[in-house]
Amino acid sequence: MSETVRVVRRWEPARHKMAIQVERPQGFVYKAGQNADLRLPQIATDDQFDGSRSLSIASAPCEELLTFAVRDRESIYKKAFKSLREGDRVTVDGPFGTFGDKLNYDEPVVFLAGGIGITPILSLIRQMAHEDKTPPTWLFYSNRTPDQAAFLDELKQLHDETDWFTLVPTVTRVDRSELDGSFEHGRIDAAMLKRHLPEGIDPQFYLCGSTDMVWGVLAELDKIAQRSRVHIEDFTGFE
Amino acid sequence: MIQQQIEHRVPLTIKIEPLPKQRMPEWIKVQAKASPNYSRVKNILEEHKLHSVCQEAACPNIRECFGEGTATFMILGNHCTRGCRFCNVKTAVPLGLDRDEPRRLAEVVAKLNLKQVVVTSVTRDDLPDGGAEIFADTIHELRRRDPKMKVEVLIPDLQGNAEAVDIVLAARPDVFAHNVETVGRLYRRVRPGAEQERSLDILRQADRYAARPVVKTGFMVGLGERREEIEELLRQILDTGCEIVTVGQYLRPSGVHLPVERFVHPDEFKEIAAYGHEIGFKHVEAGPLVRSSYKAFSQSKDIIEAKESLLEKKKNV
Repeated sequence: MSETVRVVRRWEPARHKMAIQVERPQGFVYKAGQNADLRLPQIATDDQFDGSRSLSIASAPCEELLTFAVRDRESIYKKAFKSLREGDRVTVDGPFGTFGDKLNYDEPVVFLAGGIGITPILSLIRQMAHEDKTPPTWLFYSNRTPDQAAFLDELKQLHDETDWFTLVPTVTRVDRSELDGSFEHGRIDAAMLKRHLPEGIDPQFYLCGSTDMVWGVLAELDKIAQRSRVHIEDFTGFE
Repeated sequence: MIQQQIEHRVPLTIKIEPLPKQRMPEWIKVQAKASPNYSRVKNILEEHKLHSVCQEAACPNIRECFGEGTATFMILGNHCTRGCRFCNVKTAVPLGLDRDEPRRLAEVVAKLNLKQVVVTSVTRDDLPDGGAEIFADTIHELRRRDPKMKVEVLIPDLQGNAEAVDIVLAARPDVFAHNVETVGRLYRRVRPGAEQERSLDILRQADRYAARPVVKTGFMVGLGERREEIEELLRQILDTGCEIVTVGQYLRPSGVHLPVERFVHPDEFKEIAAYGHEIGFKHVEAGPLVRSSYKAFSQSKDIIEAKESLLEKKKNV
């Protein structure tokens, strides 16, 4: 289904990240972790893809509004996204994707997110919290710098206030000496996972990030898990 | 708590209504033909742990092809790393690399007594060469058993890795195919993760290869493209040097895939084919149930024979 809706809010959830909330089209039913095509009619005539891009839905199905977040870049689409204001009209088409379809709420879950790849995972975590389907859950969240980690405060709060959710943020472009103890340093690898996960568990892994991040982390997961336990959202990104 | 941060809640119980089924026009309906060969082919594939795109992609022609003892083999497993919205092949983390697959495939081809084979694969973004070596090994293994075997490969975009494309070309397939799938404007919607220019580059590279195979591509209609975009795409493809193009109706494999925007009438397919011939394609196969691998060698037979006869003449000079 494709429907035109209004932008309700636009903000910056972190440095170099932009987010909007839009009205949820009537009858738009989706599952946590799915994506949708967000079309910006303002650029439809100048853009080779008709002003449309596929974006993960960062909000959870239990919310009334839809949230989308992107990395800020100098492209026609991102510029138009940046210039969106409350009341502007955009078109939502979807939902698509099967990322969270196989999530088993009776088994431990490890989410692995790179940058704006957090969006479908945030949707899943929010829905888990809302439905109180809360197996032991870890989120390894990799960003270049702490201030580029979108939705970090919300995730930290969940980490602090619940006993089922553990956040492990890590950064890759900051000198180790500049970090306080709440951040890991470096890319997510098998050693980091082993440091934080209890021995003897066989969790499900859900992985989303840039193509390089996804295949890099998958190679690390090969050292500690069976591939049948790993689920990926190959977020290929776009300009 | 996070719950307080989620604004404007809606009731928790959400009934997921299946999308209304799209009615198919008369010309799309396929008659299921009973054939003992259908089960035989299916069983042989299963026994050898091989996959066919006919099954994985829910091809409407499967009964006819299996019934005739042919199949389009899908190598590199049945887990694809892309999530194309038209395709029924499962998106999942691939379960390793099966180095023995080429040998088993060649064994099955011998069992089925096939003289021509179409080999395609899932996309394997997890492998540095995208699986190009396994394609090459498969061609070599088929020819080792039968030096006269005609092989068509239908490759994924290998992430535009020119060296990987060369590995496949160096194995000397008779027909080298890579599908562009849709018009440029719809790439983001239909094939997230792919780029039209990357796909056209692969066709260009095949055209320029010293031991040039027959070069082929295909795309779907009914996804929301306009007629002028179809004609523009045909011109873009022709410019790469590609000589065969297939055009078929997109059919939605399930409710989670893109809906069919339009069922293109058979007469319009004829017009598309006529336009393709007019601008210079050697062969255009266009029709509602046309698929790139469907009766593949009837599309390329004349071109392959003409090439072979030219080579023979050169040898005799």
